[in-house]
Amino acid sequence: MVVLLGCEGAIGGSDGPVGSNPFSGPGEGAAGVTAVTGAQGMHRLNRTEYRNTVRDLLGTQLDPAANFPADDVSLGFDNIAQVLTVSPLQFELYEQAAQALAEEALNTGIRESVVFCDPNDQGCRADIFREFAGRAWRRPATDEEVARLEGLFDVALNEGEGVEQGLELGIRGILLSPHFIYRPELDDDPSSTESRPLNDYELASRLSYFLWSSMPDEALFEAAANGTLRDNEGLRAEVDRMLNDPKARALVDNFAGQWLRIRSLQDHVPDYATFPQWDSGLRDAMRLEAELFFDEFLSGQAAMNEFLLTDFTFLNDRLAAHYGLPFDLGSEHQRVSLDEGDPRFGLLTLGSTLTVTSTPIRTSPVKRGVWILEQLLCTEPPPPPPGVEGLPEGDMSSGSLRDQLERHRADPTCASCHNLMDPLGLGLEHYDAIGAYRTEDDGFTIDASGQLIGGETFSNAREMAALIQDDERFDVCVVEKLFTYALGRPVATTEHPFVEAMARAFAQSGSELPELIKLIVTSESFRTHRGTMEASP
Amino acid sequence: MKGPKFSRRVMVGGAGALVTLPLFESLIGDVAYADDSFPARLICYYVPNGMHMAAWTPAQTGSNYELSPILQPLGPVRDQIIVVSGLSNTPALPDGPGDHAGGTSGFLTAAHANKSETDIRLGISMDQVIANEIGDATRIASMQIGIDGGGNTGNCDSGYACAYSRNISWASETQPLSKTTSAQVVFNQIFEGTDPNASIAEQERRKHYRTSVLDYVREQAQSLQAKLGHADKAKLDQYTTGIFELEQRLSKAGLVCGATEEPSDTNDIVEKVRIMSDLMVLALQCDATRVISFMLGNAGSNRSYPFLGASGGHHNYSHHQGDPANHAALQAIDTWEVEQLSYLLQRMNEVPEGTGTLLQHSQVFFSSEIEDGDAHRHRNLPVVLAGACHGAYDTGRHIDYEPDKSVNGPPIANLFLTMMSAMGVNRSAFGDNSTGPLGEL
Repeated sequence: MVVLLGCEGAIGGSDGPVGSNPFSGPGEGAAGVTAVTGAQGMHRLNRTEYRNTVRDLLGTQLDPAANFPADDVSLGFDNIAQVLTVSPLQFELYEQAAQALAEEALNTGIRESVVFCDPNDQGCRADIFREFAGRAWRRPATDEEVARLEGLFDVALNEGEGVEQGLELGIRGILLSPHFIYRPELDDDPSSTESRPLNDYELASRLSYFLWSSMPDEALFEAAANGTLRDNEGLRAEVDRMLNDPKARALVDNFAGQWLRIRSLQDHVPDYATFPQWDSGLRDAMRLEAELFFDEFLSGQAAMNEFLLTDFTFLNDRLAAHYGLPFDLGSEHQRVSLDEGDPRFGLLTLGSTLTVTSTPIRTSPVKRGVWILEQLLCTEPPPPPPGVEGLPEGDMSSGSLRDQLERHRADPTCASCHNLMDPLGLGLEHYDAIGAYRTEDDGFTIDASGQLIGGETFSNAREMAALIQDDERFDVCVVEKLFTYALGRPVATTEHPFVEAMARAFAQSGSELPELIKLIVTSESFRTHRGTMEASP
Repeated sequence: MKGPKFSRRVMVGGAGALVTLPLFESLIGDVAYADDSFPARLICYYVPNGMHMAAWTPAQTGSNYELSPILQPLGPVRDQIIVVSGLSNTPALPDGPGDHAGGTSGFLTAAHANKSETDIRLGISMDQVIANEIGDATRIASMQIGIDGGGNTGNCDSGYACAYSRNISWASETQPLSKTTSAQVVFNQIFEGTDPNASIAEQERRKHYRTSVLDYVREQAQSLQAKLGHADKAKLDQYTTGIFELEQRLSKAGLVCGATEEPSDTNDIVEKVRIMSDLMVLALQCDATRVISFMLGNAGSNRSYPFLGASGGHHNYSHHQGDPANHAALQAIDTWEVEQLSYLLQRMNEVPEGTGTLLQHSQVFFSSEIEDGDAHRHRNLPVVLAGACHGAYDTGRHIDYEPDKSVNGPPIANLFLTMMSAMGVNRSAFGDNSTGPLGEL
């Protein structure tokens, strides 16, 4: 058993359950101290999760979620339970969606997967409802619940209509149910704020919404039913299986898409006059590069301790030309090997990263610096005092961007914070606002050297990337981001020592992302539920 | 408030509610029924990043004011608007930075947002106070419409959850009302349940089915409630509110009004704003709702406007640092925004209602989350109040409530009290700092 940390809780290791028995009670790991698990609010399916869930539940061609209001984002992610509210408009759209999906399910090829026996037979109808509700609600439906669905079915018969209409009503009810819209983790004693182990189905849902942004599949339901998820080995094996499934692509789209801001490319519009070469082809090539890049880490082909300093990336001819690299490639992206001397070397030099942290017409060293601090080091830079943020657009009349920022930092009120972020951004000045390499900016020769707040000096972006890669805050930050996304809630204060210990274990294990995912899902935080009495933890 | 402007109108009712109606009708009948067919209506219109104030504020006050450069597009409705200067929204001041989130969350609430990524607490917005009181009269209590959904990623503003930056209508302290950015959804909301091809019996049956499904999920929600902790109970309350509101809607007749083609969704902002403006007019004209809030962008929007020659980001420009080039870009964007308002107002003015128009029976509140984008001030807010709302306002003027721009003028919460009163909703206090209805309007 691997037990890390000194204060509270325990992290499941690779060779045994947490404590003597993971479900013997919260906090009985290692030292037997109080639980660390943060309070978990009831999770509503966000737009992406709803879309994926109806896809996997029905195989539908419809996408009702396309018209749902945008989900509010918190902590940089759109799956944070506390801010996923339901407005009357959202409810109305759920109701319309349930109706459209039920109609489609009964009148298309989907039908046989839902109506698998003769619905004129009452016993069959009960089976249909039991089966469909069980999958839609991601746990077995009770006899009473099935009886109520039959009651809904009867409404149509009482109207003088037939079996079909009755089935449709039942399916509509199942899809509008709070058990479908939300992922409730119920407490026998709702007033308790003690943590308790999740039941098998709750755990299965946490797993599938973490790794797939969707409902469990048949094999995962089976694992829940068999109790396979109760020990670390079972959980770890399930993670391996699920990461190998194409649905794990959701981690690229939704975790990396938000953490690394790949999704932001879609809304970013560089100025046409300044960057006439920008078009959707270039944008899509950058997006794909970033996605393939992250996928290399997600699949364990590369380890997170080289995230900022890789010797590979993924290019097609268009992007290679944009980067000025002499590869002979087709229109499809290929993995290419990079040399020490190449100006591309990992996350910081992805076109996507460089573009979304720029303004439409120029680079923004401040934005880039803030992005590195917030997303890679989890260090919140103190925000500017009112009225002083931002440089005027396109004004180079008073020297290079570096000169302007340096004058700016001569002011002590600005310097205290900008010494933190400007050097990081200025280190990337060799890359313009759409990520192309350059040696000059508006006639000024670029100087990408700098000094970090801790005193470390670097002469170019590659050296700077090495410093960030080695910063221990980076390891902790990766864990913190993935943990936040996995749980759909902030890391609780009580969990911080735990997250730091997990980061150390991750580094010791070789820093492969699948291992971190396993550390998280086998952790007590992931396997227990703690309700909340107050409006917030 | 002043008396009604139109000579063929008389005043009925008291207590601050001025209702006008054609003279003829008032002579023949019971005044209480007279103007029922033309209710008071409200649109709250939000634009991001403040205004370039030097080109916004009219030089003169009173009725002989001249429209400023940015306000020029309002020429055709000049006599039906009041330009309001000098009001402040001090509750919108954030804790530390976060002026866009603070200003946007306080836009209609005049309440101070709790600075948190997850613990959202604010206050009810004034449009919702009104909707709570008059929403029963229409199929939809209130509508929330916008142009931008969410930016795709990133933190919203300096430690404030995105909910504060993306919603201006708040049903309660903890519930933002998400807006729709889909023209199809707005259209369906207005005409939902109306199927001219179905028989009455068929329509009744469909309604019965929908009600039955709602009854079923309500029972489920009730049994679920008993097993939830405190915070989750509050969450599920939002769901049951949704059931209730939909039931209310189903109990009312579908609309047969303003037959028009279903719009398609577009990403072209010019086209999209036009479509949304037309739909807002339609919703009010058909009396599908009487309360609408509209966001032309989200807080601190960094949208670029290449068709205006302003291809840098709006937010970047708004931190103009006194640079004339930035001022020019801002003025172009601000003027475009006012053009969109003017289009809406003119469309409303083209809808005849009795002897008046939809615009004359409505009030449109137009403003931004801050004053100047560089200074992030929450005083001297740029406000246009359009429509006389049945003669509640003496329009065609510029009023400056605080000529000294270095101090906070009267709270904007006071204007909200006055606006509520014009809708027949009388309150003595609103938001964090109201002191009483605003006079002189």
